[in-house]
Amino acid sequence: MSRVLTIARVVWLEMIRRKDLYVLLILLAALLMVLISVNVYGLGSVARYVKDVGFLLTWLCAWFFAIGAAGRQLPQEEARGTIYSLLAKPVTRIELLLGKWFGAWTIAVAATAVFYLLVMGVTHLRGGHFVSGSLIQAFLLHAVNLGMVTALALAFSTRTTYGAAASLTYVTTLASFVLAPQIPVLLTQETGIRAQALLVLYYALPHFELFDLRQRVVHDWGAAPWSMVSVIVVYGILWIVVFLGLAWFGYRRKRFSRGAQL
Amino acid sequence: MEAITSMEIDSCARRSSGFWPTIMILACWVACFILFCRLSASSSVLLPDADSVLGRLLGSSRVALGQSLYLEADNYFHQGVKHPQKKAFIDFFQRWDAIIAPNLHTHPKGTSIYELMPWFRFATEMDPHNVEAYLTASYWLASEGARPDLAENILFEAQRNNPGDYRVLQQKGRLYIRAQKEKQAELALDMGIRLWPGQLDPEDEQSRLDLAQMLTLRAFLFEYRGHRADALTLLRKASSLFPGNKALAARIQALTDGEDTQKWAREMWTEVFPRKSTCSREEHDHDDHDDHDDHDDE
Repeated sequence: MSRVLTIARVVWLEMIRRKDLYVLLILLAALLMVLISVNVYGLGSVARYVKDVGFLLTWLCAWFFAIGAAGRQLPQEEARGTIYSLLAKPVTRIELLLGKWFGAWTIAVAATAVFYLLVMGVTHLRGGHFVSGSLIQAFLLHAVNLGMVTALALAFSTRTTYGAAASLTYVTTLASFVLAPQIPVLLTQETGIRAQALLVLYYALPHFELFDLRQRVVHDWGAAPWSMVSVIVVYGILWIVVFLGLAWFGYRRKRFSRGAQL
Repeated sequence: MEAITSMEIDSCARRSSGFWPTIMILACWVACFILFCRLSASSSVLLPDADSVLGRLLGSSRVALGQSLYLEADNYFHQGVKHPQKKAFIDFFQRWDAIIAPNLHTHPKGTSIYELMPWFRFATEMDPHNVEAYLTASYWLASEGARPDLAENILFEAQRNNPGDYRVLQQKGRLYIRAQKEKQAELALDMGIRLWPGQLDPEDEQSRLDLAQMLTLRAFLFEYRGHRADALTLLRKASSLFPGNKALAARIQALTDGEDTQKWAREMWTEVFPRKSTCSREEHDHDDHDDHDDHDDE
């Protein structure tokens, strides 16, 4: 366990040294400032759109950051050649994977917490408010969702370069978020092999839309039933286990040779 | 020798990691180009102002973007509750989603309607020819929002950007009648009737309804002033658009029979067209009062 935490700590240090988080934070702050400077027909205390767009940007920034953080860990170690010295130490491959995932996930959650605080601060400046119950639930589910995204990016990166892993993760997560919830609607017009293919996709892709409670937060609906939130958290954890299992499956017998990996 | 190999490896790795993002960017560019071509072909009549920075940056996609921003206002009007859609099946994922998603039928009341306004603002910024967005914004501000002054400003902006569209003048006419500004209402309605149908199809049901409404309201203002002959002419025109309309036929009959419709019109003016959305701070400068909460909604 301590070895997993040590590897996670190294991921943190590396991500703090990189400028990704600061760039995203500055970008988010700048966009929020532009948003609150909009003159809405002379109406002053209109804040819901700031909350809405702010959380949308938070989701986007967290998505980019999480995929960047998790997807580059293993390819980077291999490209630098540091994987050899790392695996020469008393660290098993599963510990390496878990450490990398845990580090990438926790820093992505920490970055997301900072994004949330920024959006909340700006919304308060504009005169808006939040219902704490739904906000806590939204953050919890968002954190679990980031766990899934980082695990998926890590799984792809065990057998591909960073660029390929990141691209595949973007495509898969986007399809899960946008396409999967629309499949029951699309199936009303599709038949035959296309309908079967869509149905397979529906059950094969993780349902990311379940983790998005932005509408509850933005429109000041109260907290959702905790029992259902718990079910969704368990569902997310199951997917994390599946993705980490795939990552381990792809990495456990991987042979490293400098020519082949590049 | 080892140093050279390491440098080569690094450079190769960098090239390799840049490959996929480059492919993705190229794919996105091609998709945007195709979308642009499709939009150009389908909406050349509705091209927004190409001289502005936004116009040059986004081109015809502004129309599509403006429409999606306008639809977001509808989402706000339903407080984030999704529109029901026909589905092939309902499984446990959808049942979970139905439990955690907002699902009560509710609408914003009073000044909560202001929360919709940014989306109308963005929609009209994106596409200044989205008259529907201007009309909806002004309607809600004047009625539920109790800010007819701001609604009027929106309509002025709409008129500046769409000088030939009768719908803006029709809305202005209604707004002025509600605010009991008869002269301005007359001017707006006269202009609106002259501009009808503009770029719209004169055979379209909605556009015919609009004309009938403008004619009827203008006839009402003639009756209010006691100009019975003018009122009768306009009502006959309106009736020719919708021959089966019994209310119109009754009004025409009353005027033909020589009934005192001016008295009726004056009663309507004071009782049926009251200032539904009167602002209690009308004497104040609204720019100084952004926290506009108290209104006299009759």
